[in-house]
Amino acid sequence: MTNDLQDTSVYIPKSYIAIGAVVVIILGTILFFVFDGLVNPAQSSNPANVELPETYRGTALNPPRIISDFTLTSMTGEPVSLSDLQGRIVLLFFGYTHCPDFCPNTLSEYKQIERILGDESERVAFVFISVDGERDTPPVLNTYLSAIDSDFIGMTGDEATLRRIGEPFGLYFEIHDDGLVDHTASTFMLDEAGRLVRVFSYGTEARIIAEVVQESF
Amino acid sequence: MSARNLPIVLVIFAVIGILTACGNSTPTPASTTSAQTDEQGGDVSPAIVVTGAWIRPVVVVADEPESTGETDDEAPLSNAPRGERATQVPVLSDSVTALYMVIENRRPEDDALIGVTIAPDVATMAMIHQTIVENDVARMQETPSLTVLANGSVSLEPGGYHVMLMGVQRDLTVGESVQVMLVFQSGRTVEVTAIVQESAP
Repeated sequence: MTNDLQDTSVYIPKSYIAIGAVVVIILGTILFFVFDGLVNPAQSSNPANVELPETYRGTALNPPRIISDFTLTSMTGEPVSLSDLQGRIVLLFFGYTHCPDFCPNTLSEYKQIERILGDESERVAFVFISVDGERDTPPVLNTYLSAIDSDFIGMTGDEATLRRIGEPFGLYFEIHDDGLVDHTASTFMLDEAGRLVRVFSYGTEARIIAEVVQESF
Repeated sequence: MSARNLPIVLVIFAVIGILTACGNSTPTPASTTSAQTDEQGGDVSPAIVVTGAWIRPVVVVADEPESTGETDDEAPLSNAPRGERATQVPVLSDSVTALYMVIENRRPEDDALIGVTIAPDVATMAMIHQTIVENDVARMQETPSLTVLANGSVSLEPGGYHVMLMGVQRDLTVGESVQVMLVFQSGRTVEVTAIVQESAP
């Protein structure tokens, strides 16, 4: 402490400090209980929820990434190519139908986006690509997706194909013996020319994705 | 001692206070197991309260409509391998869905959800899972025991904890209700009626 400081300061009796200390200890004790009380209910907060900054609007790819055309199997068993979707904005994610929690969440987010866009949603292709081609045969995929929304586009293929076409998306997936699959959780946005323009991390609100899509019409 | 020192002293005390508070309130994953003492029935109010239980609708994927298998005719019920055509009950379904709810522990002791049972004609198995997203990869992790802290609650919700229902035997359509039973470490069991719906109530 320099003299400068002391010169300008007001001296206070020691007893005040003691009282101050007592007050702080009491405050500390109160804090203890407040924190204690907070911690228990806080357990109910969703541990898997990803906190994204409020301004998050996905990660734009500049310049857009060229995705070479690929062909997979559609829900009807016919081949379907990425180029078939040209002229529409594409929202795409990778998943599997035996996924109890994560994939239905993303698909219900798709539904919300569709609802927000209203008639304009016709200009968007909502695509679900299965990384579990062995179990997700076209009929399985069809039953699963049609129950959620008949406009959603399902695609499936064998593992080698998926690995190849997934590369520009940075796709990761691993199929476990118990039937569960770890997989990339992001939603990818392609422009009307089929170029990858934006990646939305898991947890991006439907409202925000809808907004970004609307701006790019 | 000057007044300028006072804030510093206060800050030091406050930091100590807060540290104490935090230190004590982040409990070690409480395995206080309060052994199966289901204390003699004195309790009037329920110890565990479950609210907002819901199940996502599911359409069961029929396993290959059996192609008039001659071999199937006398295949024994039991050890028919999973992949083979299923002509008998239970349906060899591998359809899955998830059950969500909020579990509140009103007792001053920690408890834990350790099992969920469901009628076998609805689903053949129920497991407690957690969805984890790390580095933008989603995976599921089994949670054999889900702690519900004393006077605390746990939310099973999309993207987090959930009960995975496996081998769903029939379509579960919006509006219908399904009975499940939750089993807790304390020995308590709770009957829950879950409603099939698209999203949380």
